[in-house]
Order: sequence, then C-alpha cells, then structure tokens
Amino acid sequence: MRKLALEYETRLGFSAPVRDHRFQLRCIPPDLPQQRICDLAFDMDPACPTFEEVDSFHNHVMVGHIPEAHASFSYHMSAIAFVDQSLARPSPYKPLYRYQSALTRQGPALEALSGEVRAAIGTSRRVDSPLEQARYVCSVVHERIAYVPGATTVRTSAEEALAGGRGVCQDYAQVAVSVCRALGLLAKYVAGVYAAEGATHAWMEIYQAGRWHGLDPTNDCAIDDSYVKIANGRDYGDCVLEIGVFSGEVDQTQSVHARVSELAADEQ
Amino acid sequence: MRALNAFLRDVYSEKQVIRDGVIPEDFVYSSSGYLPQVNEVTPPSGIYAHIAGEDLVQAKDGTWYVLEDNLRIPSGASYPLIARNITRRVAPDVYAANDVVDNRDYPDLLARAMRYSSCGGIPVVLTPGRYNAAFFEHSYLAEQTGATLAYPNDLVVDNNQLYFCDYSGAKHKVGVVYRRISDEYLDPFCFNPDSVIGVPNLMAAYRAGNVAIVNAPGNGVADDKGIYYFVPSMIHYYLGEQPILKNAPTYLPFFDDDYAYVMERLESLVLKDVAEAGGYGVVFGRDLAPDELERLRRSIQADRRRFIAQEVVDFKDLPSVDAGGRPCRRMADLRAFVLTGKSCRVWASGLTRYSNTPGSMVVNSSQGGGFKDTWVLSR
Repeated sequence: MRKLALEYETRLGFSAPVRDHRFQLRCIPPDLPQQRICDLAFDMDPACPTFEEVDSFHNHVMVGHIPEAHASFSYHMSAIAFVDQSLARPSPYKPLYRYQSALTRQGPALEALSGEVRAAIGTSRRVDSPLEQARYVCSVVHERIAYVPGATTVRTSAEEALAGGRGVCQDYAQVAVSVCRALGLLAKYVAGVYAAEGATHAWMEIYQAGRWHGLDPTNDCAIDDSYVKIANGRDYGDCVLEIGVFSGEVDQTQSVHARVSELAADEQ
Repeated sequence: MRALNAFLRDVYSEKQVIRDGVIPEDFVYSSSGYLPQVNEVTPPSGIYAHIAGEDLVQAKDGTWYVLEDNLRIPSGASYPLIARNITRRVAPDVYAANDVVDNRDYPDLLARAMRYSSCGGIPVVLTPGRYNAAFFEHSYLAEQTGATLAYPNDLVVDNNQLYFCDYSGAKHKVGVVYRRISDEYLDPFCFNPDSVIGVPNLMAAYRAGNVAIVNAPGNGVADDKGIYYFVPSMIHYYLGEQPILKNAPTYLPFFDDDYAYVMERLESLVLKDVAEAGGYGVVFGRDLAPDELERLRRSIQADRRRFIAQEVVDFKDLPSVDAGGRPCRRMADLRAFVLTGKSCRVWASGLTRYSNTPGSMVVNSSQGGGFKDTWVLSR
C-alpha cells in the first residue's frame, strides 16, 4: 500500500482568442478497490458548467462548452490515492480485448514480431501463463523500440511505431497490446500517471485468472503501487485525455504536467 | 425485426447469444459495424432499428428470400413516393382501374416512429449537405414528415442536450434526430476525430438519454453479411418462432464443413466480402477464369471469416425498358421498408431495384441500377 499525492495539469495556449470551445476530458482517476481516490479537487480556467458521464469503457468523462472568447484553457486535478494493486477484484471476461483495434491493427512489422515471439514462446516451457507470455512480450518490445519523444504523435499506430523503431510510452503500450492479442491474450491499453515522470504515462493490462494485471512495456516491468490509472480501453483512441473543437484559426500549444509523489512519512 | 432488435440489445449488453454459443464471438467482435463505444447504452425507446430496409428477391419458382437486412441508413423510400406521384398525374385511370394500396402514408409512418422515440423536443433530419447523393431524399422526407432539415453546423450540444440553431440564432431542443450520416462521422469525440460533418458531444447527449438517434449507432453489427447467416437462428433464439421468409442458402467458410463445400463448389456459388457494401465485393464463381478462381480460393483460405458464400438464387426478372426505350426483361429485387415505433409496420409499397445490364444480378444504384415503384394490391 502506498499513499500518493497526485497532480495533473494541462494547459492549452492559443495564439489568438477562440470561441465556442467544446471539449471532453478524461482526467479523473476512477475510484477502484486497488486505487482509492480521495480529497479530489478539480478546477478549470475559464470555468464553465460540466457534465459528468461514464463511457462504455467505464472511464470518467467530463463534457463542457465555453462559448465566450478565451486565449488559454487549463485544468488541474489533484487527489490523494491509496494504491495497493493486490486489492484488484475479479472482473468479467471480455473477449473484445482479444481483437485488434484501430491503432493496434497489424501490418508486416507487427506480424513478423508476433511470429517471432510465438516461436520463442513455443520453445520455452517456462512461459505458458498469459502473464508470463505478456512479460516476455514486454521485454521484446522494450528492446525493439527506442524511447524518443517527438518521433511519433498520438495518431501513430502500433505498426508505424514498430516499423520506425522509435516512440514513447503510448507506442510501447500499443505495440505490446497488439502482439499480446496476436498471441490470443486479452490485452487492454491503460492511460494514467506514475511516480517519476513529468507527463502522463501509458501501459497495458493482461487478463489472467479473472483479473487484470498491469505491465509496463516502456520500463519492462510489472506495475507497482506507484501507478494510478485514469482511463482504459482498446487503444489510445478510447483513452483520449483531452479532445476539443473551437472556432478560430489559431496556433495551439499544449503543456502537460503530471506529478505523483509519495507522501512524506509524517503526512501518512 | 423484433429478433434483430433483440439481438442488438443483447450484443450491446449481456451478450447472452454469444455465451449460449448461438453466434461465434468472432462474428460480432471482428465486425466493422460493432461499436464498443456504445456498449451498455440503451436507446431511449429500447429500439435500435426504427427504419429497416429488407432486401427481398423472388425465385423463378415463386419462393421469396431475404437477401440482406439494412439496419443502418436504408435509403430509397422517397423514390417510390415520387414515382407514384408522377404516374398518378400521367395516368390517373391506372389507379382507378387497379386496386393499388395508397403508399402516401410513408411520411406518416416515419413521423410516428420518430415521435415514439423522441425525448421531448423537435424532430430533425440531419443531412451531411447538398452534395450528398441522397440529399433530395433527406430534404423531401424532412418536408413530408414535418421535421426540420438540419446541416451539421445547425446542431449543437449545450448542457448535454442537442439543440437546433435557427436562422435568427434561437436554439430549439431536439428530441429525435433522423441522421443520414453514418456512425463513424456522427461525433468526432466518440468516433472518427477528423469528422467535420459530425456534432461534437452528440454521443454524450445520447448516452445521457437526452436525445434519440434514428437508427441507433452500432446497428452495423446486425446487418453484417457474416451475421446474416445467423438471423434464422436469432429468430428462434429470441422469439421461439420459425422464420416466415427464408434466407438465401448461405455458407460460412469459417465452419469446416461449409469451407469444404465452398472450396469444392466455388464455380457455382456467389462469394461476398463481408467488409464491402453497395454491391461491391460480390463475385460470381461462374464468371471467373481458372486463375481468378484459384486466387479467390487462396484469399478464402487466408481469411475464412472474411467471406460468405451463397447459392445463386435464380431470381425472377421483370419487364422493363432498356436504354433505347425497347421493352426488355431485367433482374430485380425489392427493398421493403419496416418502421418500428410502438409496433412494427411494413410499408405497403417499397423500392423495386433492377439491373441495367442484361442478365446481371447486381441491382445497386451505385452500380448503375434503376428503380421502380412497387404496387401492393388490396384485393
């Protein structure tokens, strides 16, 4: 069990004021047995009325509209999270996660890698459970992709990222998810925050024995109690943390800041 | 229709039909029409297919077959209305002398089906715009049903509620939207983020139960060519009834027995690619050269889920006139329209589509097919 202080902030700057800004935010971590969220605070600037919904992947969605002109848009979330991954409860079997989705669809690069992994697993008797297979996939993906921020965009598919050999956490996660699905495993894409990074993070979950287990291909490890999930789905497309449209032809800048810190002993 | 609605409700909630082994999960999850984004969202009235277009053919021996269910945006209902209007003026005595059921009630049936599902507010017909091939039908049906014709820019979602903005800037609450825009373009926040003809946050308002969408998003999974095979078992499974209309005899190479049969009899079958629509991806084995047959065989082998095979139904041809105005006979099918509100109603007319190529069985208008009015006789 860890007690974490979470902070997540995004700021959009526009080169000229925009109007009629409609958006959806996925920025509130769900309250789950393995991550109890408390002392949650959320604010936006400019402020506007929002509606809260839960989407079909059980992600918390905030829907809003700012009609008046504004040159920037920012929101800030903070909370305390009690995280203990061992408390995750059983969830129903969802075959959906065995099927490739828009961003994980395989091309020659992914098919080749999946074939390689399948052959390697076939010859080793020690990797037979889904989780062991997925751990192996993580190590291979970790090896094949170099961590290069800016080499890919949020629209880059797993196939493109693998073929290019460079990417960030989103690419690692989607490539690993795609290979796991090709092996017949149930694999989910997860967006969230974790200790020791200035941006949001992405990893994957593998279904075994009635439970989802988190694995982080970017760091080639199983997730621990410093990971807090914000959204999950088939791929990045289901976990878009912020999407919006507005009127105005402007240049847009975005800065994201996430911080997860373990509360000091005397605050625990 | 009741079975297809029950199927849609089931696959977007409990998925009992998959668990009971009636339909293999592959056919649901790998269908491009299956949209997990609307999982667990029940449409306001519980109805998914308010407007269905059932494509039927009659074989030479008189048997009727269902060729296809169209549950997304079946188009063409305005054409028989227009054709009837013209012939009524040109030859009024035809209708005096024959007992043809009046078909002018379609707008009323449609308006009732829309009103039944409405969440309170005005009805609108959403068109992508005047460059769309079916724009005439969009504007005609809006006019005839008393609904407002809306372009994507006329609709906004405020406070999780859909509004129509009129020319003066006033906003009117929308209770039901008959959209003529396909699922993937409906809402850039939920489906294709590049869509510029969608309405941002429309799906959020729909999920909250504040607006009805006619037909419901996600219906594509039920009119998938692969799912078609299972419709008779669906009728049995959900309703405990036997189908009245037959399916054309269909084989799924996905199943080993069917695969063996299809491989052996490829020359005499018609093969359909499940991912294609509009008459594309349809191949008649008998028209193929030996090397093309071999290539098709290899494609089937490579992805067995991608194809369905059907016996060629030798359907009746109808009298028509060719391009030179000479009488001729052409293959035809009938699209019957079924409207569902409080109850299911079959419109006593329909769109008869015929092929413009002698001997061809592809009647789609996108492939040069023509259409006729359809008379239902009251005697």
